[in-house]
Amino acid sequence: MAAGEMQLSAPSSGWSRARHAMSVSWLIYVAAILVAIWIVGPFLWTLKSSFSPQNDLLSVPPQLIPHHWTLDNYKGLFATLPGTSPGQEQLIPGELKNSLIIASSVLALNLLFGAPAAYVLARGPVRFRRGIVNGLLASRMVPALVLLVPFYLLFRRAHLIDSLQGVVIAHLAISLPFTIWILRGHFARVPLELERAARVDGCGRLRTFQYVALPLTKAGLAVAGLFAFMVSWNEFPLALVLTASPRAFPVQPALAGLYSLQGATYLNYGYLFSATVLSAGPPAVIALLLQKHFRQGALAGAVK
Amino acid sequence: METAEELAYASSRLKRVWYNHGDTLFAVGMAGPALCVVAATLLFPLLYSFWTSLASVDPASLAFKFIGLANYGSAIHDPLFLTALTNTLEFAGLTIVGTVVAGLGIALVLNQPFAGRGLLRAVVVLPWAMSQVVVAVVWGWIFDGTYGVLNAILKDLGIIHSYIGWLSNPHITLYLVALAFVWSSAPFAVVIYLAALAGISPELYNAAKVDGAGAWRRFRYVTLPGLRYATLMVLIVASLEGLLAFSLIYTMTGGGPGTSTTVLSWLAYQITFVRLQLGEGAAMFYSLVFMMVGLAFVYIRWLYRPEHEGEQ
Repeated sequence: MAAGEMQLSAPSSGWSRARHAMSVSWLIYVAAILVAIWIVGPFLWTLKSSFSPQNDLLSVPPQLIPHHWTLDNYKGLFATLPGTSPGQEQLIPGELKNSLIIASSVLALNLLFGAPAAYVLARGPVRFRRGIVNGLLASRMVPALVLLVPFYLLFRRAHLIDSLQGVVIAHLAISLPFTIWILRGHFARVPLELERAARVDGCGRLRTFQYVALPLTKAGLAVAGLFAFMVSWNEFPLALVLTASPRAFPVQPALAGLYSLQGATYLNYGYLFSATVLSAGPPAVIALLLQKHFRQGALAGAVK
Repeated sequence: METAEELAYASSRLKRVWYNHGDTLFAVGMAGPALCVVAATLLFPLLYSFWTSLASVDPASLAFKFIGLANYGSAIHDPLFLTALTNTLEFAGLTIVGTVVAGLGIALVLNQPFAGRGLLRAVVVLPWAMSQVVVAVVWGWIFDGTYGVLNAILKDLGIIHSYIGWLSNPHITLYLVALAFVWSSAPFAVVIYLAALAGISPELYNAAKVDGAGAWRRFRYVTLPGLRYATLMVLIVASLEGLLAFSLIYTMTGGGPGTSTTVLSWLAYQITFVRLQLGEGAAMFYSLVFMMVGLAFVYIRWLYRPEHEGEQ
């Protein structure tokens, strides 16, 4: 654990200092390589598997470097062979599309509802704010799991089971408080002088929000929206319980279903990994785009 | 008889009241829809869930029959309850310690200067962005007893002599699932710890060095105290996630082999959606929420003290 202080612990004599510095930087590189293997290794292994033909995947011992690369696992997902009925893996593109529709709707609704509310919580009358902010804080603690039973019962009554709309509503529940929380911070950072100037120039409250605050918060809107998209795309238990057929399956329950076929002779492992890579893609891109905001995100959206 | 000043005061008051009134209308109009959505999709289902936990629900007609707290009693007396509770605590304990240790270790490495550090810092968040289903497939494939790369590497290194069915051995499965879980939860801790490490003043290290403190003592007396708040945050978030882990276990092991990875969330899911005892399932999920409320109290009490407001 002394790794953090290693460059600080140089002994006094010149010769031994040089030797010490060398051994220390050598140690740091070993540690960095171990960290890199731990973080990136599983990704690379999955990526490699998705480009390997089936008989390479099922060879013992596994080949660390594949003999040949293939795109068949990806092509096969999007094409049903003529004369055969589509397997579970051929449903993946439709399920990716479902997820795309659901997560985009969740993103749009989060901004639509969240931005005005966040603005008021950053700028509105003080007596309005305190209780609500505390309430939002508390509602972020509500785990998605406890919503499984009520949403299942309510949606069965309302005939929203197995519909994209139902999943969107459920995902809105777990993302909106977080969105408001992030956006509130961004609106609070808009210089008050600009808004005052707009008001003095005759802008009403709504127009000040629309033409001053909102354009200055574009980055915040993008961050909050993409986080909401990622939460919805990655969410599993609600999506599992509230859908029942490929018509509405989002990609996470679909992937879990495909994985549960493991061991069955008809499971094409190649398809499993190309499907995994495709469903991991969007959140990976978002994560790389939003790394700077991850601290905030990690703090605020802790419970996935 | 009112003086001019009094009149002016009254009219300014009137204006102020009017102004505030408009503000309130504006505030309600702007925040109202969002608050209604939160109330309808979060508060109402929570209350409805509590009501469900007090009823016996017919799975076909969804008819409710009020039975009081009986569901909580039968949830606790479920033959798998104690196993699930033990597994949950063990899993949460493993993942909490794992997240703190891995998170701090990786953060300390990434805090050192080395070529490629920027790249490694960028990709370190990736496991955190993965869904638990993806984590399950990725690690399940690594742990695969026949085709898995873990067996191959360990055999090449001479650590094992024959392949091990990692996920079919009830004595080790929980540990391996916890390992996969830590892979996906540690990046969050890394991000928190890196920020905390950046916040420790270098002057403190210099002062400690002048005072003759060695590397270990500087770590112990400068670094660790500077990480207290970050550690508290990591501990609490990791506890919440560890106690509630569901998706990874659902996909990777399905609570097995046997009951070796049957945790409370998995048991509650089984009771609700497999046995279709909806009331009892709601009671068990709700008990998880009571645990959360306890933790939430600690969370708010420790993390949202006014002096930490600046760290938000």
